[in-house]
Amino acid sequence: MGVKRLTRMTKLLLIDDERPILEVLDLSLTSEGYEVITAESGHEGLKIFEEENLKLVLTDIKMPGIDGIDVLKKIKAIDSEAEVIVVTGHGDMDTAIAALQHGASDFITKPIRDEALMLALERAERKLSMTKQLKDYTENLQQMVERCTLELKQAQEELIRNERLAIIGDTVAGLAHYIKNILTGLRGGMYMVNTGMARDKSYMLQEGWAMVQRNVEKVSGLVLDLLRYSRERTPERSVCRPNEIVSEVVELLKDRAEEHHIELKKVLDADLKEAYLDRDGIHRVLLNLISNAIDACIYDTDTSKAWKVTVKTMLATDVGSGETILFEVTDNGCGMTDEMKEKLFTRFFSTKAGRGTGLGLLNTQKIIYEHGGEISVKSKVGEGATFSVRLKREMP
Amino acid sequence: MSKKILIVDDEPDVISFVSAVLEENGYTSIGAKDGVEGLEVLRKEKPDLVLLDLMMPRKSGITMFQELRKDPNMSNIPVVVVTGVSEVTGVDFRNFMYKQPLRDEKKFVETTGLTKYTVPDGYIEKPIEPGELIKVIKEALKE
Ligand SMILES: Nc1ncnc2c1ncn2[C@@H]1O[C@H](COP(=O)(O)OP(=O)(O)O)[C@@H](O)[C@H]1O
Ligand SMILES: [Mg+2]
Repeated sequence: MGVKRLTRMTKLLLIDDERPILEVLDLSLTSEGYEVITAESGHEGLKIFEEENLKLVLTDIKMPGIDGIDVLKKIKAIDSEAEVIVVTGHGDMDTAIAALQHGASDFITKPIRDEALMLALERAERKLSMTKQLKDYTENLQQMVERCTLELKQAQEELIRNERLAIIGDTVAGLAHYIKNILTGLRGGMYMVNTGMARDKSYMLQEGWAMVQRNVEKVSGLVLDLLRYSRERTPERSVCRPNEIVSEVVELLKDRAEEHHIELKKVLDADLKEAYLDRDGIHRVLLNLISNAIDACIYDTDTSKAWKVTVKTMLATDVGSGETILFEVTDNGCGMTDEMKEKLFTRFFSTKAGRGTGLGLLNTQKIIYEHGGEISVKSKVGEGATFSVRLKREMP
Repeated sequence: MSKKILIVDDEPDVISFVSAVLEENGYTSIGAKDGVEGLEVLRKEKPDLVLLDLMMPRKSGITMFQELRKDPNMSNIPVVVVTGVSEVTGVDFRNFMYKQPLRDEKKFVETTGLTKYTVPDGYIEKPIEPGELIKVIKEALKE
């Protein structure tokens, strides 16, 4: 291969359920200077991985019992720095992508060619040594930071007290991609406005201008969301009609739902007339919940479903606690895992790859708490979700 | 007759923008918002080229790409992959497709065992820059 090896004796764990493949690879990798340990199943592989101090793993994907993707996930959970190369079937891009998304450092396809294998291994090793350097560097940095922290302790305490600000600081990076998408929209709109003017094409000008406006709207929405999230406030209550707010929001979102063949339905309790709430706040809450429900249908991969989003209001009268208003938003879209459910209300969390901010539910929860209310969620992967909001009616 | 290009992207803004750029450069275009719709339009309209976003809800661009290549009626339509995928997932798609440094297609086919149909005819990264887009399209159309 001609490329100089980076480390002398690198230990490598090889997992494949087919004995002959294991033997051939073992031979060829040992001759390349690796110290090879083999395992004939995912189970055995994981056991060895935990016992030995390993950093480099090559695993087959298709194996009975614990398959390669599971092995990958478990290894990454044990040691996120370990480099895992997966071996996928001929042309199986979806699996390869899935593996890469779960943190595989590379993939090679069957039939395994020596050249491709060595390249993948060398890349992985290079990454390992880079990770190590980075870690040393970070540790140094950490010491420095610790010293500074000590000096800045008082100032910082104040900052840490404001937990929400800390969260925002942490995850501004996550917003960068969302903002970049908006910028792309703005640039596209500007291009169309310019071309429309230069060529005297009014439809292009109009469309471009609408695009600029839409994206400016998105930026101001984001700014408002951020402000709303970082600021403590008490609800500005007024007497309003909850059913009316629901109808407004449904009206706003019905085109988007229709465009994606989603039925958007409201079931309103006629007994629920007036309530004493922060009208804008509740509008925001419903907008968030219903948009999310629509998105969940759009992101649903089961195209055989008839997608449906239902918004329900109810007035419940409990003997002890007085009158309670209930909003319920139900969809039959993609649903969530328990793991996702845990993150919903605690962090910026979005699965919408640059199309979402993860601020929606944080703000929703905040508004509801400020009202002294409660929010809860029920969901199953593939079946949909129901978000329920419970508020005291509290007339003045 | 100007050539017809199918734009598959789940972001309406991108479809509008790209079709404006295409119109400026003498192409006509049609849009589709996901892979399912994309395949439908593809069968009906027989475009001269497909611009395909890889990260879409439901049928991913990758799945659509594979189905397109499997169908003998469509497999020769050039496909240019458009994506911001590397940024979102940390997966460098160009590297993924071409397995750098084995960028040479012939070698790629030999080394990976993948057929040549699994390689798109062009690749462009978001944010889309009009000049680069047209250049990649012209190359894919062999103009
Ligand atoms: N009805 C729902 N069904 C499935 N997933 C949901 C639903 N509502 C919210 N989620 C998940 O919670 C995440 C966070 O939602 P949210 O805070 O509103 O942010 P955003 O919508 O910007 O992503 C979403 O990205 C999605 O993964
Ligand atoms: Mg949302």
